[in-house]
Amino acid sequence: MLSSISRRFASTATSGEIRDVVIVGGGVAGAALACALRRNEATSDLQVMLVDANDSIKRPLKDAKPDARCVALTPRSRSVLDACGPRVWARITENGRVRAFDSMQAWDGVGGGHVSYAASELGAEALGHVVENSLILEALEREMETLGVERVGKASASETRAPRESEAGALAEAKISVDEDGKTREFDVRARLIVAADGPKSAVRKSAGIKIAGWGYGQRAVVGTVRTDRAHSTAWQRFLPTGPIALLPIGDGTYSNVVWTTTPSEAKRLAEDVSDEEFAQEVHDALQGLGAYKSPFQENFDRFATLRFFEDAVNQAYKPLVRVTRETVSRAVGVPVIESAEEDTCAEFAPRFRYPPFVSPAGTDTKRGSFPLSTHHALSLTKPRLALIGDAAHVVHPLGGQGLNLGLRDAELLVNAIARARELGQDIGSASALAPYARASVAANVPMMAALDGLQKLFSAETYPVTFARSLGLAAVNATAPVRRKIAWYAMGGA
Amino acid sequence: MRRRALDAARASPRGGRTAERASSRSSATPARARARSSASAGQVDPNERAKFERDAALWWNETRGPFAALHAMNPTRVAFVRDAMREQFKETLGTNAMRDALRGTRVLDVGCGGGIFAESLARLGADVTAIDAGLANIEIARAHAARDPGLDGRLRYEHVAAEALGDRGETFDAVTSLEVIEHVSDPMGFAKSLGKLVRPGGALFLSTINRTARSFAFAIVGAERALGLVPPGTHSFSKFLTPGEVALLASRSGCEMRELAGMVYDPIRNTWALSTDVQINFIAHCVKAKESTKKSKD
Repeated sequence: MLSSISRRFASTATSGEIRDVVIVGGGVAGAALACALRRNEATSDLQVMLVDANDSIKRPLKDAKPDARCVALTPRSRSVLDACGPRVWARITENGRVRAFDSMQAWDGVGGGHVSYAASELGAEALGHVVENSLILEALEREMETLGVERVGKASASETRAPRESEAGALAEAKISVDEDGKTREFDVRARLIVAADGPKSAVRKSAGIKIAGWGYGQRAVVGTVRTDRAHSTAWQRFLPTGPIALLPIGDGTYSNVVWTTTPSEAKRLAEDVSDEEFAQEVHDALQGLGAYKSPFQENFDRFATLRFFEDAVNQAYKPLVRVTRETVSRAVGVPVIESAEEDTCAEFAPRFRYPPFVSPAGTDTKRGSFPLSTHHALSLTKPRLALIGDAAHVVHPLGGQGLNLGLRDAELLVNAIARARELGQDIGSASALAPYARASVAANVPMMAALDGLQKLFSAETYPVTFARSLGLAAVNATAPVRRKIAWYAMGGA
Repeated sequence: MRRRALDAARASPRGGRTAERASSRSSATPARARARSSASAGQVDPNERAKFERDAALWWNETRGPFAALHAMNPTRVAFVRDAMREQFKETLGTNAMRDALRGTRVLDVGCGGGIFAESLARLGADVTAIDAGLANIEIARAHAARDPGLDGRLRYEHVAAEALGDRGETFDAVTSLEVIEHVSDPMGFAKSLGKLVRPGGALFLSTINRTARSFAFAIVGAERALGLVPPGTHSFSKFLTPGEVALLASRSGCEMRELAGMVYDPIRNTWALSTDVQINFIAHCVKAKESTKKSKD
């Protein structure tokens, strides 16, 4: 094992050599891109070099507690991983550290309204899988090794240069610095395409002069691991005025990953100051609506009787309402009523509110951490001989763990664009070849960013009229099967 | 508007002066040309050639300038030619991967301009000869191709007329002349010299703009005057050819039109797509008979 790792560091590349694609950044998006390029029939002959600032990642021990850095992987993202290699998913799941979740419940921590949806409504088995980031990366790195991707570890692209406009068609150049046992070796590499996958503070993006636009939320997300009193397979999300708290099942389902978005001072307290027991207690209270996390308008969830009554009333009234409306409209325009199966599905019973499981500490060997939240997007995703993917291109609010999913989506879209370009005889780094990627990525990302940002803003309001209207809205959504299905479809990555 | 008869033959100067023109070209000249200049010196229109040579340096600006529209259109033309050739030569090309679709074929691109189309064919594996009557174009094309080591040996540019090449007795599996025939002064003579260069059983691809009310509205009024997508004066309406005329030209050159497709522009996404609508831009796939039948209609 050790020898194979050290072999991969020792890239034999010397100055002036040409690679078709140089990927800067060895995170999930960059690694998935490298694998998918090797797997796609139209791009498998391209020479790919991946420059990673880190050493090779180590596989988590079989019995180790789940890491706090997790992602809710959408089915669409899973299909991207499958395109990276047939064994990638098997490797990620082989130790039983991955938990599928088949339903989702989001509820308003102030007004009490809720939305639930299940994978079964879409005929799918799971809405997604909760996976530790490190597992995905480790599986992709092994796959890169199998596929013979040239990976340069402990290295950085200290300088990247795209061709000047006067010499259209010239190759891009990158200066790579590798740390070899404390000594720095430098070499230049020429590339048809440089891919910036080097994270939110992308150095490649900066050296290309591409600006970003966006804003911070003045919030931080705390991540941690807890135990639950029973195994569950639901993604729970309660929207508190300070931010949402999410509980995602992991491992065998008795562990859960917590992503808690809140104010910076609260985040510091929850991540650093409190003990594991206190943290678990706070999570428990926040999810059950106890203690400091009670809704100001209701003592606890049991008293949201009015709202529950309203929900039931909507349910009862909905089906007749649809029929009456349809008949009235039909009569008004003089056409016969069309009976359709949709009528039945419209009036499916609205899923009832369920209480999340009780939470207890996961043990002393789990870590907590926090990170700041922001949303931004690069003002352009491509330049001649340069493409941005993943966090280098856009950072989203981490509601639902969409950042990593969008990064995988970018990798997929970029491979598609490169494959298309090759089948049309285009230069893979040309503006024309990269344009379809930029178009598709923006089309996929911007609605998601707007939706996540909008939800965040909607649920930060605390005044009663807003929260009441919000909860009624949630109840209406919850009672409308097609809308629920559409939301589930988006949450699954539009797969 | 300049009006010219469809097949008005013009005496035209040979290439010698072209080189001087090209070297004295000023980069400050306003963009004036979109399509390729024609390559057959016998039929080439000197005004047309000058028009393209002035902008030669801008050939490879993909997103702005006079040739941006051509760059946007190129993938669509490549897809049509690639698929038509795969179908026609399926005995020999059937096993090639899509990214290598044309490996094993010899293709001639007449009126290659800066080499936008020729480079694509070479990347798809074809052995490409590309010719143009404008020396400045050829120089730009050569310089651009030299920057991609992957094209080495697969793409040759020559500053030569189609007729002169025909006189050498060379023939090709496929001859392409895209967005060219509407710029030559003698389309009939030009088509015949192309036909001679196609081997029996080979393919001839021609693309141009239809002569319809819609093409006038879009290609002349819309693209040149209103939106400035291509520089004013790029096209003259009277030189546009209908699909019927192209079929006739091909037929008299010994090739039968096998397939015809329209190319339509989507201004929102800045992309082109193949279509059954041949009212504006169209591309034709013609096939030369296996037994070279003599049709002397000169």
